[in-house]
Amino acid sequence: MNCGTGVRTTALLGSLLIVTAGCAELVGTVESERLDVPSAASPSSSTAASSADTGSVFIDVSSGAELPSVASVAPSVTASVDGEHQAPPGGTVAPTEPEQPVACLPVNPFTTRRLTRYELLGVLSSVLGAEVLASDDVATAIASFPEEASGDITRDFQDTHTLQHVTSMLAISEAVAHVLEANLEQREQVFGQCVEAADEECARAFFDTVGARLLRRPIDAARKSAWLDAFEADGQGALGMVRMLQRALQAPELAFHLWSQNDAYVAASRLSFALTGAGPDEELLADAAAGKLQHRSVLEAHALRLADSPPGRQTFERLLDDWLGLRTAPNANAVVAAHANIDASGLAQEAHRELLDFAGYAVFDALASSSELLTLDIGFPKSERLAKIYGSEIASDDPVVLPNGHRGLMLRAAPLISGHTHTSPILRGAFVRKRLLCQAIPPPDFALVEAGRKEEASLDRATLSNREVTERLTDTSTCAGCHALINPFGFALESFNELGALRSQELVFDEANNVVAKHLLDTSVEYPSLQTGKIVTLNNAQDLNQALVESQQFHACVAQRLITQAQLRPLATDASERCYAASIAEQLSEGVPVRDAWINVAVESVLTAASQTTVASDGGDQ
Amino acid sequence: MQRRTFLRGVGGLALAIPFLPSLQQKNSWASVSTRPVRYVQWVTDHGVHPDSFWPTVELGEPDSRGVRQTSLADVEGSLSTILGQPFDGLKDDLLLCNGLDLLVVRHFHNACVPTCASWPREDNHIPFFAHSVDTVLEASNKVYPTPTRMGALRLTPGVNSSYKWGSFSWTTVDGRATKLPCYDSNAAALNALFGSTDTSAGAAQQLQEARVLLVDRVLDDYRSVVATASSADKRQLEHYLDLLSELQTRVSVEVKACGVPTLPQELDFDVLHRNAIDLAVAALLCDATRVVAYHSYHGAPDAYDEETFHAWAHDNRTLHTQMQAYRYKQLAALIERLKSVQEDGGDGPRALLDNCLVYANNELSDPPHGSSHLRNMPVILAGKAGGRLNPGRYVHFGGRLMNSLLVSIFDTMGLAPEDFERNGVAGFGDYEGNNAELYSQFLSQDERRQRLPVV
Repeated sequence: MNCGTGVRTTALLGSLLIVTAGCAELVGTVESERLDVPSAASPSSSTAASSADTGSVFIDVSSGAELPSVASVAPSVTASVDGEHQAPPGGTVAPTEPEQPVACLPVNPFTTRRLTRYELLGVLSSVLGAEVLASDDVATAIASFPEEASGDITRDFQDTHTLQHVTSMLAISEAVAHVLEANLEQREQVFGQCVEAADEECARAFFDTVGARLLRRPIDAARKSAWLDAFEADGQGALGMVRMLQRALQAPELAFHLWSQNDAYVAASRLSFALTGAGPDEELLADAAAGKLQHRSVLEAHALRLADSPPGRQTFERLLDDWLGLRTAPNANAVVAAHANIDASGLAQEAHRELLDFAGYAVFDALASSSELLTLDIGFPKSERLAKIYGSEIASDDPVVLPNGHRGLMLRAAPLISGHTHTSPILRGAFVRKRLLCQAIPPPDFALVEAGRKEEASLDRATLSNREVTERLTDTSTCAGCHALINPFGFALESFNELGALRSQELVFDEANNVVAKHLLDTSVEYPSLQTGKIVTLNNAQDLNQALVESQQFHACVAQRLITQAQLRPLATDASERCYAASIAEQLSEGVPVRDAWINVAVESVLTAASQTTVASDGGDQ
Repeated sequence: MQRRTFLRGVGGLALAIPFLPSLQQKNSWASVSTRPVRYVQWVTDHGVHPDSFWPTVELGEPDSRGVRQTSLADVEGSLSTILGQPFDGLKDDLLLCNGLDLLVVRHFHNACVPTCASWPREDNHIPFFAHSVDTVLEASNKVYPTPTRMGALRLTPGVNSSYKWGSFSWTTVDGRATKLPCYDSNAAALNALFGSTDTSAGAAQQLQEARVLLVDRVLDDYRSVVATASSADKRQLEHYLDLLSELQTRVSVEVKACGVPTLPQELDFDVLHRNAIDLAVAALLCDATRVVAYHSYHGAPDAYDEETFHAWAHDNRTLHTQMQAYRYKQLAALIERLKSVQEDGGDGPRALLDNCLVYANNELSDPPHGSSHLRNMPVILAGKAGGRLNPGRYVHFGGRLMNSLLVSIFDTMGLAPEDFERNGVAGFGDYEGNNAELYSQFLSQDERRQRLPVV
């Protein structure tokens, strides 16, 4: 089967979406669903063929909604499998449905949405300059613009302006005007030669420069006429220019992505916001005006340029933060840190920064594949304490080798740091399941959690290891279903202590912060394979890491994040986007650099949108 | 000059902050003020351990409605560990309300429990009934016969209000639950309320005229885009247009001349909250708003770490209680400040607090949110609401719906059911939940619209 202009076979759609109505079904079936997918080089969207072997029931891990079985993803345009299904452990098999043609394409979001705070700031910064934004007045005004959801923005984005948004836009425009009025240099920077005695020619120049950048498209004739009238009414000059800028700073085209216009400028905006979180630069706008963005090669060249830029890296960092959820990791435990002669203050934030440095280097400098995002044993510990935790040299601009088994996104300080005097195998295991594998785990019954905490207080950690305590607390019939899947991953990670450092034994602290016991570590676990669902053994954290590399679910999770981040929505439930996600997952699992997959997703999104109508090249005066 | 340091209103009333203490005799004022009743909503999160919060004092015998009460003056020493020394001088101003429940047991956190009386159907912090008291009051022409500069001043000092516990203000836009942001920057809120760096009256007028002109022009731009927009785009653009129109109205309102606080540099959380409190009090006093929603998030004077706070709720009673004592100290400071400010009540100066209804509550009652965390919500009322509230008591309602408290607040603020009811629901909030049968006597339409007894 082929999802597109297809070339290869074998996308593991099943691995993308694992059943999880309850935890018993979280164990996937995954081994066999195969879809033909586009090649990494041309993930386009037109033709198809098909082939596959077995299928399963797919459930949207975020919504729990049942997806079409693979058998319903079918022939000509795209994907299909034969109708043979393998029941997931403890689950049922969906009836085979009639095959329906499904294109392997991202869902095309024409819907208008508001700019996020970071997108707005991205536009303002690129057009007005960082200095203007950093001035006291403007910074205060910007502080009133509401932040976006601090959780996972693909799930929590609230696409509604409030009065505070509107008030803030006004405040920002006033503050910018105030700063420009007071600062000749910054005024020159924005208005160029028209800094003093501005006339109509200056106003027209503004339309084509600052105005077009802020609105991300040429300003149409009617708007120009209205703004020129106002410019005249204001007596032209600096006042007229500043007021025109204030108006542009509150224009609908700045506050919204008006994507339903779907012309070349929208294409430019889509690409630019996806990769940089800001509007198109002059180069991109020029190619939009010239009608060149219909060509994949042109889009790819721009995409590569944008992705590799500093804003591109920052945008990828934001993607990582939304995905891994480590922005608000708890502070490292002060007792454990003191025992290691390490200052705990700010350690979690430093570790978070180190993870981002690692990922940025891996993705953009080393062109790492998603597997390598888990396996590269390098890092950027830039302080003595973090180097001590890693047992490494202190890094400068270049990475250092981490000699103690630290590697990738999982086996490093940021996700391993604990705020307690003991690690939490449950939280660590849940991090792997929820974050690295994009699986939904039902929340626990907190009455049971509360009871468990009371029971925990009665357990003697001097005689019971952390693993034994965890097992006792989660060994009830109610808890065991989920914890059989969560705990093993946490136990495998027990070779890293509460600071994320390699350890050979577990230390137990009393209330006076003295070490009162030591336990041998047992990191060997049995768990249901991510590939087959059959019980297999992991000996340690490295085995777990390798299991993730081989699982496909990790790659599918990365694909999901690449697709959904720019759209600020979860993965669509329709089979077309699922098929598309599977194709990206396959590219990743086969070693396509993450950066290139990210670029592909951005480019494909633009092309898919553009294919709905002809990309116009004349978005200017009408 | 930086905006945060300006002092506007020179030439207006010489009203200074801090203000004179109240001249009123406690509990002796039964007349109704001619000044509008102002609503101040103070909310925090992560619950309180009940034995650290409620006073240990004998309540009287239950009346015919099962309500027990006693005077707070009977409490010796501080009210409790959390309501500690900062509340000692406020006993006559408080009405502690125990025995108020939500009719559901769910372990979810939900920032709209105290203000919407609603709970999320999923663990996503989105209330099923997405209307909070402050947003309803903000929209009411009973509270606002004429508009003010700001419908509601929402403050979350120093904390990003987009965080899941960061705002307790919800409304519904186009059928979608919408969480309203708060100002986390006091300087930005000051700017939004009082405007410009220029202190002269002429300059202020000039600024206002320029602002009205600018918004007019922006409105024109939106109208021109809406005229040609697709139907899908139109909905959102028109919503924005509505907001712009509201902004136009509000920027046209002249704020009463009165003292505006300077905001000292916020070197620690105490100053941060003090500035926010000064700002809220000034906004009320200047009639720049009549509704304040204040979210106190910082849990300690020297640390801000929401994940750690959350962990304490589950496993460290001592630190959690210290954290809440710090937060409630800020509530005491807010009430104290309202009490210390005088305004003309029509028959002489009165404490601003006397014309306020302060409603304080928490996202949870019992911190571990295991099973009893939505019962006995830690409700505090303060102020006299222009003579409509009689504080100085500790009341136990014996297990009534907290919804009735919110109905009582609306009633006190002069709203009838037709003014505050939403979504076709009689009363206010959620009346469905897995414990609904325990409250069946309060679920009829008539009961839902009743205010609490005694209050």
